[in-house]
Amino acid sequence: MRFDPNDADVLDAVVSESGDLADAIEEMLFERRLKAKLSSSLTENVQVLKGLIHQAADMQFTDFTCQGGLKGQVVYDPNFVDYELMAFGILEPLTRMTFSSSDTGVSYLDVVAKTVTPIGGYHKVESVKEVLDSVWYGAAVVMLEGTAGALAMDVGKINKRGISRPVTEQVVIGPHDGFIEDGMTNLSLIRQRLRTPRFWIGRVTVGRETKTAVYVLSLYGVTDDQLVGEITTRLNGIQIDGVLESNYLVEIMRSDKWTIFPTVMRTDRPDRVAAALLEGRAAIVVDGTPMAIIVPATLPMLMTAASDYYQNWLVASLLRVVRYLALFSSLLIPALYVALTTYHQEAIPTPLLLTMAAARSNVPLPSVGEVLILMVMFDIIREAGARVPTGVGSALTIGGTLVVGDAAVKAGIVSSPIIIVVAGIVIAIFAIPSYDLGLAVRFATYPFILAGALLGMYGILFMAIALGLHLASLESFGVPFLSPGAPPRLSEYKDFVVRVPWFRQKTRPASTAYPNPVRQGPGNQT
Amino acid sequence: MKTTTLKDRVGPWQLAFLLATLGAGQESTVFNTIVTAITGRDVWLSVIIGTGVGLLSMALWITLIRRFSGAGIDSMAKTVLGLLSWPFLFAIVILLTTYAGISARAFTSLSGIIFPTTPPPFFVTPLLGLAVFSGIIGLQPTARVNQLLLFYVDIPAGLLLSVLLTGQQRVQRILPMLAHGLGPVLQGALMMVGLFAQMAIVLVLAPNTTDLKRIKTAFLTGVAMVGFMALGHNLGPILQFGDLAKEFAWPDFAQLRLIQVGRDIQRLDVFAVILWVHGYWILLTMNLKAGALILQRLFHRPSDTWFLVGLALLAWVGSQVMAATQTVMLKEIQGFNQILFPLAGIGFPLILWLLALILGKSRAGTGHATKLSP
Amino acid sequence: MKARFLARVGGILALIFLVTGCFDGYQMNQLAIINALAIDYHRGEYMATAEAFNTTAVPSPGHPTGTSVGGGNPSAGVLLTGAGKTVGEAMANLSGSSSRHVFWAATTVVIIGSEALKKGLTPIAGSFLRFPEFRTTARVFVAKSEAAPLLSGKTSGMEISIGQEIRNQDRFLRMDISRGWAPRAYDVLRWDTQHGRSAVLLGIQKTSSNPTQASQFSMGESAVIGPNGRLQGWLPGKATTPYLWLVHRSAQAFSSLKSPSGVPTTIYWTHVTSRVSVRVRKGQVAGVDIMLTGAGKVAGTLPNRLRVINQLANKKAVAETLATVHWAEQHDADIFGWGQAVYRKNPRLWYGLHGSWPGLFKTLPVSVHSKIVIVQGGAGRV
Repeated sequence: MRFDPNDADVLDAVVSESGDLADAIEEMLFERRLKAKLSSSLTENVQVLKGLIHQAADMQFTDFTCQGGLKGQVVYDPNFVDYELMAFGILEPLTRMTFSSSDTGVSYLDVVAKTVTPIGGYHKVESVKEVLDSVWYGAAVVMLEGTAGALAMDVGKINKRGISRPVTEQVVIGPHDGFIEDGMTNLSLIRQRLRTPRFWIGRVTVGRETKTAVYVLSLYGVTDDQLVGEITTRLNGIQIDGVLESNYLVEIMRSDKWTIFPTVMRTDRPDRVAAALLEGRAAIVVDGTPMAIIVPATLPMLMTAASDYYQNWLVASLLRVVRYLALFSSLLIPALYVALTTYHQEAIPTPLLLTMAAARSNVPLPSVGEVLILMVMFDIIREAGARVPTGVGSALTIGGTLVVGDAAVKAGIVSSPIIIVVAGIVIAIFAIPSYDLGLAVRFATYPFILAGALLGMYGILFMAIALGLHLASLESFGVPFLSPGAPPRLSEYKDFVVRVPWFRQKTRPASTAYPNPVRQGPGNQT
Repeated sequence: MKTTTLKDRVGPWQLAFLLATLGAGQESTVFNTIVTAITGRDVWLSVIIGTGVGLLSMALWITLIRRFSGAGIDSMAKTVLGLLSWPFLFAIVILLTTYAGISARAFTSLSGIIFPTTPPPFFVTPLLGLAVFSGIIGLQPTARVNQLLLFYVDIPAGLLLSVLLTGQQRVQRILPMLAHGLGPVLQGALMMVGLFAQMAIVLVLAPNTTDLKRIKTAFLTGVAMVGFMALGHNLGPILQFGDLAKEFAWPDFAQLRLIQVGRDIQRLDVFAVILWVHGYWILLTMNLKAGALILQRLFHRPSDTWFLVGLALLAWVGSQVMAATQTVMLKEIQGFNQILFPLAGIGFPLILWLLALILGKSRAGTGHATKLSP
Repeated sequence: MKARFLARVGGILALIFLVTGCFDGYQMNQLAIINALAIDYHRGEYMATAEAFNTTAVPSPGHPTGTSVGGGNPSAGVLLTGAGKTVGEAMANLSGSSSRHVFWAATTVVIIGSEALKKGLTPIAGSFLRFPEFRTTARVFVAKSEAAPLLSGKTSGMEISIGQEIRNQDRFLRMDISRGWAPRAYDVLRWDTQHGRSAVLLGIQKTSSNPTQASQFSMGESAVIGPNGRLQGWLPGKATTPYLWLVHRSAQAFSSLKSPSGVPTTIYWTHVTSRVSVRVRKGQVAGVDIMLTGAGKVAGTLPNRLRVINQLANKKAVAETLATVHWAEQHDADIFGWGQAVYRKNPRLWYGLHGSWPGLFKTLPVSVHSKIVIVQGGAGRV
């Protein structure tokens, strides 16, 4: 917050926001101390810093004395720096310096900078705020007695786990590396796959407090410049205190906000990001989360899996058809079951009708009640299973299978065909490759069931059309969500429900890669 | 006058497919019943004559649209007739809304087959709500959903059902031709002309079309599709039942009830609901949207939303008060299509065109976007 | 603004859905699923007897072996009855007699008693065909006496209902020796508007009158119903095969004939069809030409005699066809739809002779030719 103590209005605003004058003044003083320039007195600087960060126990102050007698201070966060680099790369050369305490002046910093340059580079800092920012990006800040200014030397080393398998989407055949929480590492994984100067990475910092680094990835000449510009504009427009996961950005920046359907694709697979970039899409990598964002994303794209491209095209196409079947059946089957068994029994083959009628001869609930109870029960089990510790997982399994599967039928609360229907769609939802989409479908099922229970086939149709209208009105960064299905783009049918073999995929999708649609051919040789 | 938003703009083919559904939903239900009752086994002749007239009318409308470079019927009428045009335009809006009402009434008749005791408002209200929703959300999403349903559900299902029905169909049942002379055939053809005259709705939606260059092929294909589907829907019951088809309340539906796959897969007629809901939803959406668009342009409002809601309410009331019985409903629909639609859809544009030719009026293209942004 | 509006519209829609009642919904266990319907006429009233599936007899997790009231094997069907001045009223009363919702849509067999048939076919066919729930593909049979007793009595075991048994027997006949393929309910309706044509309905009767024995049915003679809806006679079983050749254009049947060596030989008619043309000359119906074509098979090793057998078989086919035509002419029953053929050829001519068609049909010169090819069916191929 910018604060001018002479401006009464601002003071009023601050007071009313904090609700208390004392708080307001404290906030004001904090801001002022943060913005203050470094003074030429080393002791004062250290005092100011220590006063500001009295809660930050992780900050370390180390004094040193040059051979000549000049005193200095190195400020760093031991968690973010490489000790070896600190000791041999900075402290040792500094103590060998011949500056005496009488030789003061800013130009010493230049000498230090030229003599002691760590691999990561350095930059000059002048305010207290800059000192702190640099420290938490992994720099050791060198302050010298009598110099109003400091040098931030990058000796950073961030704690991170090693590259591991992607969690949300595993493949049997294909690359097994996944993103981790460190943005730079993630970028390196993508760079490994795109060693071309056309692979551009822009950087935006988002989050007032978290200062999260967000990288906008594009392939120059293939990705539409407008798309990259639009993403950067939207990212710059975000004024949030913190970004801890990519979904923070997604929910704020996408154009159709009121929907449960994901209009961006989130993945922790670097190969998917690289493939998307080659198709002229843009990607956003957020520091601190393994989930990268790919935009624009369409529903057919969310229905693809990475493995589709790594195995035989016919098999992949068949699997895609199966996946679409799973999508539609998980949306419609419970509702159709309710509608057919409540209103349109004549459409059920007679032997099946007899069996089902017999199966529910002692069941007190209407079929919609049975379906809803079981659906909710399965949802609870699934939700519990998602975060249950591994040690007690077996208890959950036993409870789930025994109680829901068997006892409910024997007790006559639900009839056995319903178990098949509900269990079937529970499994079907897992066949949807995008986890975000699966979640959306899971909740879209309920309105269909209610509609089927109230108006039979008519209700299902009404609901289907309403859902269709909603989906058809969604757009992801200018690309219709249902494209290439609706509006039809016949040129992109080669990678829609069926994936044609690679030797027939001569062009990139026209809706995103129109600046340079050549996939196979001489193209631009850079 | 840039009043249409991007969501309200559709491509020529999208509009053509909307027209196809507009026709398909009606011809498989009320038109099939009425025309078959009039013409009997010569119904296919009526359809062919009607389609011919429909293609000619479409040619007339395309000529008009091109002459006025994509203007709607409102600005055409204003250019030619001046302030005199207002009563005509209001009459068109009233016609469209009333027809939406009677169609909603017809829909309750259809739902009554499957839900005999559920009160009609339970079906009319969601249907009209859906029409309003799609009107508000725009023609573009409506066209997209329409295409998905038409090409991935309706047409495959229709072809499948036709194949399942061929086993019991006999070609000789269309004989003898013209046993009752040409009279009934022409009367039935006039009814079909009414169906095609409804497609004059393109005159209202012309400013919402993106590419005027391609409208000729697209629209004519749309009309031909309707004709082709009408032929299938009307010929099927004749080949199945012969002249008896005249006596069925819904011949096309009656033949669906004969489908038998293997021993136990029978009575798939409930899936006809898909075509009914789809067809009537598009029909109501198009009629209400067209009416609302005319009003919006006449009164220069930024949005047509409240007109849409108002017309939908009127149509709802209409669906409740019009036509106490099914026979009366069919008679009224017959009246609409044999008299009012040919007058408003073909007669009025024809007069406009002739007057424009005589007075030498036309409009140069102004700000008609030709391409949708990707 | 837009989102708010959409939310509003969505809210209204949701509200509408919430206030909808489930007017026409029935849970499956509330249904009395009707399998077969018998219609009789008794002292000025129609009697409807229906066999509903006994769903409690079907094993399910709730009652693993099926239950019955008095112990012993549960019956697969439950009988419901109702009476009324019209068939519709009788069916409505039948519905009222059940504690469950009577569900007609699974009806596969309709049996009409001969007394009811005498009152005409139209009131029966019309009343259930115009009932939207009814299955138009239900097969229609005619009982030689009363229809209701056919549905009572024990089934042949195997836990199927009598309706299913009748349907299975009809299917078996159709697949094998084809005494007929019982017409569907909508066929019955179709006949009554057609031009002077008589309908042929498959007759059915119990073979054993002993009530303790399991029911067995024979389907031999077919009832012939005139255009006025009245019974004209019973088409003998022998005449059914040529009838099917002439009308359905395909039938599978056996005929026996004496082979040249004197040993009776069986011809298996596999794909016999006919081309029937009604000759119209100078505005008059001149006659009917029938040409039988198709194939028949003969079993056994008769290589040298095949040509002779061919001739004999063709003669036999012609003779059988002529006999059937003769039967039809005797009974004034245009079961072949020749009047309709006249109408299709020349509607004006038909309108002229509309009233006099039965008499004309009786004297119509009919010529039958046969070009059926007899082939030798190897062992196991018959």
